[in-house]
Amino acid sequence: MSSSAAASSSKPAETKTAEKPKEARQAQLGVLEEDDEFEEFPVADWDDAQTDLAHLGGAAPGAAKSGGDKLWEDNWDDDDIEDEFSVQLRNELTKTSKGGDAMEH
Amino acid sequence: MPMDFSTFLTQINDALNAENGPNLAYLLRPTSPHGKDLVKGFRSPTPATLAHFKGSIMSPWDEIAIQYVLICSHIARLRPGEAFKEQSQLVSLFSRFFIENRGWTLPALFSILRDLRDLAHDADWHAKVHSEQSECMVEAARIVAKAFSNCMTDRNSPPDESRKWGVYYVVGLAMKCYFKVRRISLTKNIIKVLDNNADIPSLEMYPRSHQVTYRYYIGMLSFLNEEYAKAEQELTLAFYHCHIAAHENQARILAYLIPLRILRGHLPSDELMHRFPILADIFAPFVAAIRTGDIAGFDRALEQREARLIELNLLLTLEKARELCLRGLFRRVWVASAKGTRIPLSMFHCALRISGIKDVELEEAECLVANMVYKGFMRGYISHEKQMVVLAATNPFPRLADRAAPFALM
Repeated sequence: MSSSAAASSSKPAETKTAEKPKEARQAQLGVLEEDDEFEEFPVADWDDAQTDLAHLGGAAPGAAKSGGDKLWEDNWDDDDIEDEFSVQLRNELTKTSKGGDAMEH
Repeated sequence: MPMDFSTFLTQINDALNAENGPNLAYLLRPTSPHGKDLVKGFRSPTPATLAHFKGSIMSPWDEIAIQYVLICSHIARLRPGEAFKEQSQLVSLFSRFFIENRGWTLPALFSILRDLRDLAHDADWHAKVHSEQSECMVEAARIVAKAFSNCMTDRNSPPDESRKWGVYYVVGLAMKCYFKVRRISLTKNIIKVLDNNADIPSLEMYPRSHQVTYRYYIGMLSFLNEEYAKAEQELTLAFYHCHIAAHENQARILAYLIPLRILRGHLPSDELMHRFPILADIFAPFVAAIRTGDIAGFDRALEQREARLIELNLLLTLEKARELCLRGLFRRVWVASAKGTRIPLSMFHCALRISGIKDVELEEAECLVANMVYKGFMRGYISHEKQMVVLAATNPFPRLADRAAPFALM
């Protein structure tokens, strides 16, 4: 129904005068660089299979891993990180608690 | 065989009779092959030399056809400013026809507005290179906004043939113009008109290209206004409905969606980062730092990327995300303290110092803990007298993703 009204399957017009400056611009500037902008889509419409909805299997977009969306993690607290920081922290804790005990006695 | 002007007129006439919008769009596009043919055929066309073609087909199409030749000629002679002026005139003539007709004309409208915008871009660029003033993009925005009204005000066409099927595409184009000239406050009027018109079909019924572009810009506007919940919602839908082959557009959406989701406690997965190396380059160090509570690493990442983040308007958002990293650090104090409920303030102070935050006083550490509690990152209270943090026995560090209003206290 909207198809006749919306078939903007045409590519955005590249004018001849545009070519030179645009090329020069793109040589130094890419995606997310200054003056970058959202591009025209080459086709007007598409279905779920051609989007990231396809991998969701019915999950809500952005639900995160616990909700069936593997693109986002919502459970990432880690209790088992062993690094220099952990060791130093535990040493300090031992010292502090000893000091604390001493004061309370 | 090269096309001559009378064939061009005949083809326009045929497209009109057949109500063939895409074909009409093709005929009016300066980059179509017949554009060159016509320019060659006329040598140096001017309004005067073409005037005698007036009346050769139904108005305003005789004049539109003449405009088309003038536009192609200016483009061929590298005069984008002139081409833009003539294209503005073409759009104005087209509008006369457009408001009397139904939605089948939309492909042609979209196409000529796109060309108008491209020419404005070229004209302003050309002027800039020659150190001249040029405000074509501002003018283009005005014309596109007018076309939006012409779509909105269709009161006669049957619903499925309405010009209203053009509103979201045209708004997207208007936003693109306003963003380009950095006058985004001017988009407010258009959005108000859209929001106040219940009789346009819901956005989901429009082609996906219209939906995604519209949601991207609404998401960006909300982001810039610090309406984070709305920004996240719109950008999420924009991302998931975007064509996966439009990789760069997906990256543009994610550049703002990722930091917003980080603030919510949803970290981008490795899979997502692998798909978008340009984004991993920006965000991966922050994500890694948040995971391990590595506050020094977080600060280093902020420092190294400061200029880039400012350019992308993202510095403020990532500075806010530092609290998530701090929460991770304090959580590690709790883990190291065997998840006890009473932890001396000095431990939190100490953790900050060990992690490389050198000149931090105990009072400041207390203040940071208090802030964490106030914002719901930690559950418990501080006994100032005893210099002790008393944590809730259950769930003292709620999962970040579980906070009810994650953006409320940001």
